[in-house]
Amino acid sequence: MITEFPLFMFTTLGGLAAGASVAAAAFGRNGHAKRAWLLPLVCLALLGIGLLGVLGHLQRPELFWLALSNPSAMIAQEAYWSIALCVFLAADIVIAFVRKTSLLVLRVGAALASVGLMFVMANAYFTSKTNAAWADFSTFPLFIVGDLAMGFALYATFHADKRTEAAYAGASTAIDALLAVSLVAVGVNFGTAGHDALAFYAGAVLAAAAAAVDFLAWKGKLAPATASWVVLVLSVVAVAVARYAFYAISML
Amino acid sequence: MRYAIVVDLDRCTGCDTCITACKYENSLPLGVRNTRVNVVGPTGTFPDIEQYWLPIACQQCENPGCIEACPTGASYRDEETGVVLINEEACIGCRACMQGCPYGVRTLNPDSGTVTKCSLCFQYHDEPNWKPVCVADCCTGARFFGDLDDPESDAAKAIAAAGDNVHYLPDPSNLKPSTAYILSPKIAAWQNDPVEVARDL
Amino acid sequence: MTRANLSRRTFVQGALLAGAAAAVGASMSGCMTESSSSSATIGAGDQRKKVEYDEIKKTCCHGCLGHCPVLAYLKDGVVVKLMGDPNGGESRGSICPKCLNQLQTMYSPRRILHPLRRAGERGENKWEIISWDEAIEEAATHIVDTIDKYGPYAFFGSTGGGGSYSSNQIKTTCVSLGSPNIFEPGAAQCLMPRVCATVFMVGDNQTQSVADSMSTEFFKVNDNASEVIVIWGAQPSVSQTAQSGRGMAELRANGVKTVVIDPNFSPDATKADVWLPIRPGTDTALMLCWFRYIFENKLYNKEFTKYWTNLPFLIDPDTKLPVLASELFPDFAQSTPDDTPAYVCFDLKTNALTPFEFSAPKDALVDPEVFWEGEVNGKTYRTAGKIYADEADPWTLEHTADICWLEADKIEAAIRLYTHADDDGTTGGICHGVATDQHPQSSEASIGAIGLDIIMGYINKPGASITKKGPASIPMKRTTQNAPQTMTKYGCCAIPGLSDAANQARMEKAAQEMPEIQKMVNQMYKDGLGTTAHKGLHTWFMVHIPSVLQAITTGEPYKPRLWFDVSGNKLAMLANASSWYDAISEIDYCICQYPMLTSFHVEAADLVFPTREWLEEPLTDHKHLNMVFLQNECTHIGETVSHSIPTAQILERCKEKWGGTLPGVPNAYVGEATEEAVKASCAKTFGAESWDDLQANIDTYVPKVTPEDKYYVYNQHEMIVDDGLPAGFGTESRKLEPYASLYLKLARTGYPYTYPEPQDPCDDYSPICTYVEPAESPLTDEEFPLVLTSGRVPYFHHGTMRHSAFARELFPTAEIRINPATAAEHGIAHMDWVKVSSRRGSISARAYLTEGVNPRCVWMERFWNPECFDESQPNKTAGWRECNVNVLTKSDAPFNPAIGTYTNRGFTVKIEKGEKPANIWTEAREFQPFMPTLQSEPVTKDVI
Repeated sequence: MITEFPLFMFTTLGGLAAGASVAAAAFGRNGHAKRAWLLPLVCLALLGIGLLGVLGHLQRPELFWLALSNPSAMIAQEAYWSIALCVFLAADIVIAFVRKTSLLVLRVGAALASVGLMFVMANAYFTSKTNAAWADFSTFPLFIVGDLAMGFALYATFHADKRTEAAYAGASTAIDALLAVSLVAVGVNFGTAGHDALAFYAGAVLAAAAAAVDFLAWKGKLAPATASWVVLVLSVVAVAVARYAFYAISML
Repeated sequence: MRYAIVVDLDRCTGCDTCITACKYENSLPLGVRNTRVNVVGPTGTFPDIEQYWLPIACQQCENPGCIEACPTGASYRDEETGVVLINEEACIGCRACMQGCPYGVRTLNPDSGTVTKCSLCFQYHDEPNWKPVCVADCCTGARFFGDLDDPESDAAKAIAAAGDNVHYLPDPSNLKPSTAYILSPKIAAWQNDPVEVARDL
Repeated sequence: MTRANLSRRTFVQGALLAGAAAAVGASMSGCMTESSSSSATIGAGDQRKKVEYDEIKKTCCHGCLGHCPVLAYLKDGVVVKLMGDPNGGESRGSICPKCLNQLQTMYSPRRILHPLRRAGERGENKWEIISWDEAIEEAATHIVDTIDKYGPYAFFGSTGGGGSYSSNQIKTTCVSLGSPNIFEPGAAQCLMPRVCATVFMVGDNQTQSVADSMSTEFFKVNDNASEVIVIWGAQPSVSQTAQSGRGMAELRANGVKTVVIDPNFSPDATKADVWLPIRPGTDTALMLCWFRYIFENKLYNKEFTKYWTNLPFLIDPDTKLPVLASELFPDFAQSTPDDTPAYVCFDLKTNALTPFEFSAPKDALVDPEVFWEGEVNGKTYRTAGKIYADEADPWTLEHTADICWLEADKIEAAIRLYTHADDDGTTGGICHGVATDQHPQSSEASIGAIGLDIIMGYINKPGASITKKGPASIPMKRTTQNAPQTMTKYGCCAIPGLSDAANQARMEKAAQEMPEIQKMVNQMYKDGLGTTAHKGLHTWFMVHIPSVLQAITTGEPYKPRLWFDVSGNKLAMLANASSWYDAISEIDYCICQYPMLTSFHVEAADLVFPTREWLEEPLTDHKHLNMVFLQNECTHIGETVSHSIPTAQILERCKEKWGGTLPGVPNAYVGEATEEAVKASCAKTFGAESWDDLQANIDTYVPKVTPEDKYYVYNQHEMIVDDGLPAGFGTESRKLEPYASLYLKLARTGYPYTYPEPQDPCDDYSPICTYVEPAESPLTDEEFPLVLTSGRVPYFHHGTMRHSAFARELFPTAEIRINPATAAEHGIAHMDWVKVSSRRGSISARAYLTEGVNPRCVWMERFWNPECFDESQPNKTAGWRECNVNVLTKSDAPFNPAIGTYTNRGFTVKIEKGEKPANIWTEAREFQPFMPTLQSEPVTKDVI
């Protein structure tokens, strides 16, 4: 088990929730969808488990609230954006449960908080002075594109019908293809820095496969529900494998 | 004021007194140090070789990467003396500061769950002859301490006397480490990107 | 956002972190109080605490022979901090890890606080605590019974090396009981060869050893005159880190040039002007090269060599001794006294052989040719100088470079620095370390190193290695050999420098006053095991270790049965340790004393007495330049005692059992029997009225200072004394004797030691430096192709400190330094475990790859592992087999002829990939069981 496993959990699960929240705002004018509260609840649960991961990373978790003190610190910023996302998700859940439909403004708020969160998650590593491989531009897509890819896939498991709609299907194909390219870029960066890059190339293959499934489902060649689960597994595994390898080179 | 340590690598023989004295003074447990001393070299091929030891502790940077990375504000700079310190009561052990330091001078103390580093024996800064124990105990007289802004301090005088032979650790992020190293070519050539040989596995 | 353009992050590779796994750390925090200091605020929320103390005691460290002056900080009687004493002189307030880690060893859970009797079998490490009285009774009973049954020679004793407190005590215990059999793993392998040579050649025991005599001239603080120092087989920065290590750093910073001769790229070598990475075991070849170059290029001090050395003396080709004037010139009547014979030289003024009388150089009647050869009465005679030059002749720079694995131009550069061939310097000296004492050319190397300083005239002058200090060194009479012998007062041993008549008179006086004692002591000299072949051992009244082992295992010439060891881990320090382990079953009874249990105690001891650590033991005579410091009683725990007490008390008890007399020399024991006596003795040294007075007014008494102008005395040999002549040196010729003819007399009769009754002769010992290829040679050894040598690291002193957790986390395991090219041949990577084998056995070590050793050479420090018998080990071992280089070292012939030195360095080995031995700890947190726990022990009063 790598030393940074708790943070790996946080950024993977939290990233998944953030990506799904973006998808919900971008594609989800779901009107009177049955159980509109379910997706935000799942997101909140994933984020919550991820935040427990952060607590696990702290040596003195009972003082976690102190981490809000210094705004310039990446961990503080991750806390701020996480809190904002939690608030929006919680509000979304409550409103959707009561009114049977989501308020768009809450979904947009959650999406904006998600974008902020995805960005600072990446930036926390981009600004690292201990790892040349982390302090590289390819770190940004590893997190942001990865989160979006996972999140879009999770969204589709709730709304498989979107799989044949151009807006969603085109976006999901593009994001998974972009993920494959991003993971190759990360792999090249790690290889140049003298680290093992195999995991990233493996992840790129899985992401490319996900893009292929996206495309086939778009064109009606695959059953939407099945395709959605397959893409979810492929994209999460691709990102998890890559992120695990990313964290594994931690100097701490 | 800018308090820092100057290390004369012409003198240093890698005896590890500085590491040991610091451990006792600061009650550090096994596996935790505030300073490290690794060897750079031997460079070359036997018998045409050169070598020096490189003691590294908190470099007391002017633009430290640790303070801005610390979410709780536990890492801070003392206004009067300029010393970069850790308020252990506020440290939650997130180690973000360790990510922010390219010199690897911070260590997590698993006993306390907080991060520790050299504080220039700050607990004695109120005493008239404030001198870190590593400086007092050094077995080759290689360490000089004082306010770099005071030309009469031991540290400032050591730098002035060393002329061209003053060096600093690599600083691509413009952190401006204050810790000066003196190394003259007759001992060895300073390596801008030194390969430290350690026995830590 | 700018990209953080880091290159390889190799410079942060060494960052050490325990990771998420928490370690339970019982640090020194038990000594620190939680409340913040009562002085000014510490800073905004900074929680660092000052170390709280209520007392500071002035003392000296005894972590090694440096004895650095130290300040001990105490809180409630517990020592919580150590700092150097800034008024220490040479150390200037420095202290090293050996000192600092006494904070752990003093309070180590491994300490013995009470007398222990073995409870299970040897090797089981089971003990029961008994009372002091029981322990003394038991020891005395066994000793009395053994000696009654088998005679005094069945008793033998041993001690530790330099730094051990207890050399004189065990020696005089043996003498009191009538046994000559005393040894230490050092002695013949450490310092004794150099002392023997210095005594014979200079007439004094002020050697070139920086570690042992603190070279008070090199490290003079004010008006230092050093110009060039040759560090030959020594590591001041490692062995005496805070003393001569600090001293060397200051000298180098002041522009003193250094040459380092060491197979290993030691810290001092990294700073040297010239480094000669010599093949281990070939130092005498290099010395002969130096002699040759210096002679050929006339770089030696001509006036000094002519008039102050015996090199111009004619040597008899048959006897090999200097020819007395009376032998070639029967009518010659010398004008000098009987104690100053006249010799023969070839006089350049008359171009003839002429009597050569001792005089001040300016009064000399002759101008002697140093290098002469000619016919006298049909035989070819040579001067000593010519003999030396002939011996050195083959050792050209090129030939030497070939044999010694060096480069000719570097050798030349080194010599030219030493001799000031290219500058105006006038002084210098050789700092001669233990390396050459550790292999069979120990006496020849000592002769060579001293000889070099002699021909350069680097004697008794500012900045030289060989000097005498203090007002007592100012001579009133003709200088005689100043080598205090334990035995001289018993009417044994001649004193070179006295006339034959005077020596005879001494013997006759003793024969009247103490005839039995004189006979007994003379006989003990002769009967010491192995000394007939190696009479140089008489220098310290010690015996030949392999001969002791042989006597134990074969019973010939008699069987030593009862072993009293007073210091250390013999299984870690004796060569070919396995051979000693095999002999343990032959030992009837073994008594030891030490602050903690070592492998030796586990495997061999039947009774162990608890001794004090240096923070507890009052001891004095710690000289630093012109100052004497006190090693103070800072605290005391348990029933531990000062080192001289167990043997003193046991001797008293034996005496009672024997009805009031001991079988050996009466009143021979040197050392105190009670703590009160120990303290009174210390007080007396400093001129205090009592121990209490000393403590109450310690700053006025300690240090005891000899004013510099009285302390730093030079050219004592030139001072005119009561016979109107220069005092000269304590040798037969009254001059320096680079042709050390006393070695010849020593071999033939044991003179000056076995006197008046001579010892049986053996083959002559060489009076000059000569070279012999090591018996196990990498030039020809195909099975074991690498040559191994040893040295120190700054964390440990001999076998000490391996149980300090903080020392071990910095240097956890034995390491073998290997050149990367050699390692690659065996697929060995940095820090891999390797198996190292010699003809004696195999051990394991971690490979430290470095270009700092020759590809055909490897280097290992000694190591034994106390963790091997920690409670947590499922299969305990005694910790001496796994990583101990002395499993590999060689204890059989050839030995050094004069001293009997065996082979600790410069023997052959092979390496291959290996495995970590089962019981060895390597990670920092593994050493948690060694963390100190005894701080809560009550401070106890004196026990005896």
